[in-house]
Amino acid sequence: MDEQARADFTSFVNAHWASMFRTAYLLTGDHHLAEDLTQGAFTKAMLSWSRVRKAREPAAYVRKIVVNQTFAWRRRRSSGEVPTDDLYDATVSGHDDRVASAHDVWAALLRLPPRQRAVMVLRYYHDLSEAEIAETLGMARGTVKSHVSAASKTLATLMSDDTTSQENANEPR
Amino acid sequence: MNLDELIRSSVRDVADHAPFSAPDMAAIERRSRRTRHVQAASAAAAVVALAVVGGLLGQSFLGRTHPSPADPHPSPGVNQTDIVWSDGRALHFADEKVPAEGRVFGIGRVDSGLVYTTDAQDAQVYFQDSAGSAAELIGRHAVLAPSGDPMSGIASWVEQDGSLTELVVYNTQTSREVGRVPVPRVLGPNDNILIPGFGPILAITGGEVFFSGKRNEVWVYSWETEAPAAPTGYRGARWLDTAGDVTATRSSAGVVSFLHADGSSVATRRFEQGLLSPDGRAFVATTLPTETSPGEVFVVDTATGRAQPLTTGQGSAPMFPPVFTSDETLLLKVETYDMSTPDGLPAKVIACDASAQACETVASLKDGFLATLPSR
Repeated sequence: MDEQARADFTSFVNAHWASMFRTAYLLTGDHHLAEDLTQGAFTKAMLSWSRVRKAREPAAYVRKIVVNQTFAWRRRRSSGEVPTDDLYDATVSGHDDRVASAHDVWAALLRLPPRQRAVMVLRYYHDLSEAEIAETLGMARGTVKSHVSAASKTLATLMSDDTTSQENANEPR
Repeated sequence: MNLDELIRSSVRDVADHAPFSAPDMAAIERRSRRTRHVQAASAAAAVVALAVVGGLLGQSFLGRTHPSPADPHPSPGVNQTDIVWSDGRALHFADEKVPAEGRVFGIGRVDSGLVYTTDAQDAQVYFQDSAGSAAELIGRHAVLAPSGDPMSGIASWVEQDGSLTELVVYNTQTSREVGRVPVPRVLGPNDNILIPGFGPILAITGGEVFFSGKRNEVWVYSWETEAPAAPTGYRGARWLDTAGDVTATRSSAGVVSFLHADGSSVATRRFEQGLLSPDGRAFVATTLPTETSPGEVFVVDTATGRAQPLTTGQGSAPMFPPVFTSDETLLLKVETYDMSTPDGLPAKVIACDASAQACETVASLKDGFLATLPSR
């Protein structure tokens, strides 16, 4: 990699690191793993930088790597393991209604199947269209639509269950 | 707030509060450098009736090999860490020799070492790093040789257990399987004569594995998108290799062309076989010997199609395509049969600096049948 390419790549990393990390974090719930996946994705981009820089949207290419690396990680980890992280506690301890809601939603999001979760993160964090999500995940647009629908229903149910559980727990005995 | 808005604001809240460190460019560069430069080796042996098959194949080779003339000229230009191979019992990393966990059937090079299959009954797959750490058992029931990507930690092989045949993609950097997909059966009940070092994986590049499918079709599986494995549309010898942004194909007349990512195509000349360098910039090709001329080795610039002969010092082309173990280094195995040693198959392992057009002998073996180079 020549000096110009190296400078371009460094700018690219600096511009997109936060977004890629946050994507990985939303998908895994583990910030150490998210950093590792993000670093791995940019390493891969560096190795193919001559090709990546010519892509129509280099960031979309790296985002795709992040998402797919996350799938690979999830497929190999033990089932039933629920990710936890510092943020989990930090948001709960904030005692802010809005943050508490965010925590509930995210906790429910982490319980979705990986592909549904990825669809929701790409839709709601990245504001990607159905076509863009389909391209990122290598699936048909119809599949994206059905994942969104199923995930929304599941989230509504999970949050409803959580709320009910919390209310029951708060009732005087 | 409706559910849509709640999800959106929640996801963004969580993302905005996620603690993270600034990008560590030095770490990315180190990881990248390690991926590019650390070496691995490869070799091969037979899965079924190895010794018997070896004898049979050895005989079949004898009629096709040529006496060896002078040794190639030593070249200080060859990167020693790119010299990785197996003698069938041990793995060689430059001057270091690491015993294998069994008879080696085939090897594939990854960035930090090599993966290899053994002739054990359950055809085990191991990862061995170039530092000589304990080998890691990473698979079983492998069909012939595995393959590796010298530019990354990715290795791939096909497992066949009973009626189930699956292609496996494994990341040796993270010790995790990253892909597994059912594929057409690649080894039939009568395919019991096997050549050391050969396997169904044809190439690993850019998130994809190319492999041999039914009826000699070339299939591809993308472990990153997890789409089902599918035929590429190429059959048999028409597809030669894919690496970097380049695919090497051959016309029915034998003319080799390079298809580039921008859609352009560059033709070169007729070649019997060949493989691309990991970055796709070079192609090493061979011509078969004829009654009037020995076979030759050429290094071709895939951007221009210009072919330069490579003088290996052996007077004839190797039986199998030389293999790039980095973007610059080529390894060749040349059988050097002569009548004075009728019981063995003497062979030499030769390393060449492709751009400097200079070669050196790495090893001279009394019986080199089981000696193998990395497959990809």
